[in-house]
Amino acid sequence: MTILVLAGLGVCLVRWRQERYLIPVAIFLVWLLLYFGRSTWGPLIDLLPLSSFIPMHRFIAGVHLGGILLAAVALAAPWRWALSGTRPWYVAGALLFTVIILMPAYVERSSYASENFFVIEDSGDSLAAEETDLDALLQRLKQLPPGRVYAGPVGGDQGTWGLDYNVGFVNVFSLLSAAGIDTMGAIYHSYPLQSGLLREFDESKQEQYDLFNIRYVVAPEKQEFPDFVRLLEQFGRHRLYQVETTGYFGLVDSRLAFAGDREDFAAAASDWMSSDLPAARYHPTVSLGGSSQAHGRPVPLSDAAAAISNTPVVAGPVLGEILSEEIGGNFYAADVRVERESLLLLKATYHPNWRATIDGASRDTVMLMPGFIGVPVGPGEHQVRLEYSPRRLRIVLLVLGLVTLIVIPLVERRSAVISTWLGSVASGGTLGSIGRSRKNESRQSRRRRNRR
Amino acid sequence: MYGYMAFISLGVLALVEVARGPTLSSLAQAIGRQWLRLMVLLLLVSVVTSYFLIPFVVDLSYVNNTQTLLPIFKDSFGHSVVLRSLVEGDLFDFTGSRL
Repeated sequence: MTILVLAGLGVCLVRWRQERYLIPVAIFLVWLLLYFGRSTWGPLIDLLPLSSFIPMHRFIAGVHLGGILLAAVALAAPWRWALSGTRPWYVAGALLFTVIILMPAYVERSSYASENFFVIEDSGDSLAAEETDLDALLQRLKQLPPGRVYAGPVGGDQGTWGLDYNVGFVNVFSLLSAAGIDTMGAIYHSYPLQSGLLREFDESKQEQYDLFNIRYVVAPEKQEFPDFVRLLEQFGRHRLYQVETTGYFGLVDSRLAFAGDREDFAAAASDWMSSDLPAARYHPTVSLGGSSQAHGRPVPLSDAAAAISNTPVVAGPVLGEILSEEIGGNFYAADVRVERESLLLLKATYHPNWRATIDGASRDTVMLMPGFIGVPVGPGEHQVRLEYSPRRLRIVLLVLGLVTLIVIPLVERRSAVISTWLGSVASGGTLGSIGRSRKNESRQSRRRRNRR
Repeated sequence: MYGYMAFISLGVLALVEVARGPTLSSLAQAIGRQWLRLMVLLLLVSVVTSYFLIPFVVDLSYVNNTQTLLPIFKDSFGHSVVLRSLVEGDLFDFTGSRL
């Protein structure tokens, strides 16, 4: 392919006077230059819109797009020559050339497909062999009280036994996720604020199981755990363990308030998690991006390390207890008995779209370390419900988008008028020129432009 | 990501035709015309996808930005690595590439 791409580049440069040969060159060179990235361009790359959000190694897709077009140009050259001649063996020669030049690519793709076929076959066989055990395990997990399931880490201090714990080539944590089980540890995207923190989960600390409501652990026989991780049942080579937690809800204290930008959040959350505060159920409030959730004067997130280490941990009176909880598709609800002013922690990722009600009345939510949802609650027995509901703005924008999609084809029918108007605007003309130019232009020229 | 790349590609392609204009003044006019059309397209795409884009931008404070990727993936590899890889066949032929 590299030979074809470079040959295509040569052909295009030789024929640069024809516009169509400039297109693959432009795509290829622009993306090749951008693919050099910040390492080459330094601060200049910031001129590119959104450059700070873009993983620039993905620009290789643009290089490949240009390269494919260049390779096609190179392949077309012998065919053009063959088809312009009168002798049939010219065509045979072009065909032979094409087969020979594409053979390495075909062999590589064929090998890749074979490898994938083996992986699929082997995984299918392994899943079939363990089907009874896995079905029983999943069935049991669905019968047990709700809680997150942990099936091993995929990095960080605990190693990667989650990545090595497979059925065939399929990770067990993937099987659990695919079965709709709420899992913790391995995620397929990293949008939540706590994403980086999951790698810091410490299997030896019971308070961290409680923090993430890891109520169950699924692990291979050889894996060892502390005593508080109790064996519940065994399904073939898979062991199901249970850990005591307060569930998805917990009553916590705050003591500290942080404010700052998300850039400082991960480090602050990491400092908090490695401190004694989680065990003492001190969950500081966090305000991000200028939102004002904190009472009093919050500590900057960038100074969190010092503030956390200076916070004394004292055993206080019992805050209350969670009497029951209910988990739905987009809501969590709990009955709680509160002994003194505290915060009800929901161990799920905070977002402003979470709406809270206490005994039917709306309440504001706050973000608590490590990026979870909190609702202030007073003494007494309460029914609390937290429900995720998107803003109305989204529905309005969705309708606007759909209307636009419907209008576009209607406007497209008048494209000649719009095109003329755009041309007149760009050349400093006026709206009044639309009618004139349309009148003056012939039907044939309009048709020609539309085709273009 | 790929929609973003598509728009940059379109912006470049809009220049290909006009880059061969006969004079500088006609070149400037043609660039203005082509990019205005592209802006109209961008506006339409923005309106249609606004139900996703606007909440995403509004809620950006709550999206993780931890560097889970190695810096080299975010900032790319630099011209020397890329050009060497191109010449050695690592960009277009699967040879156990570094990229």
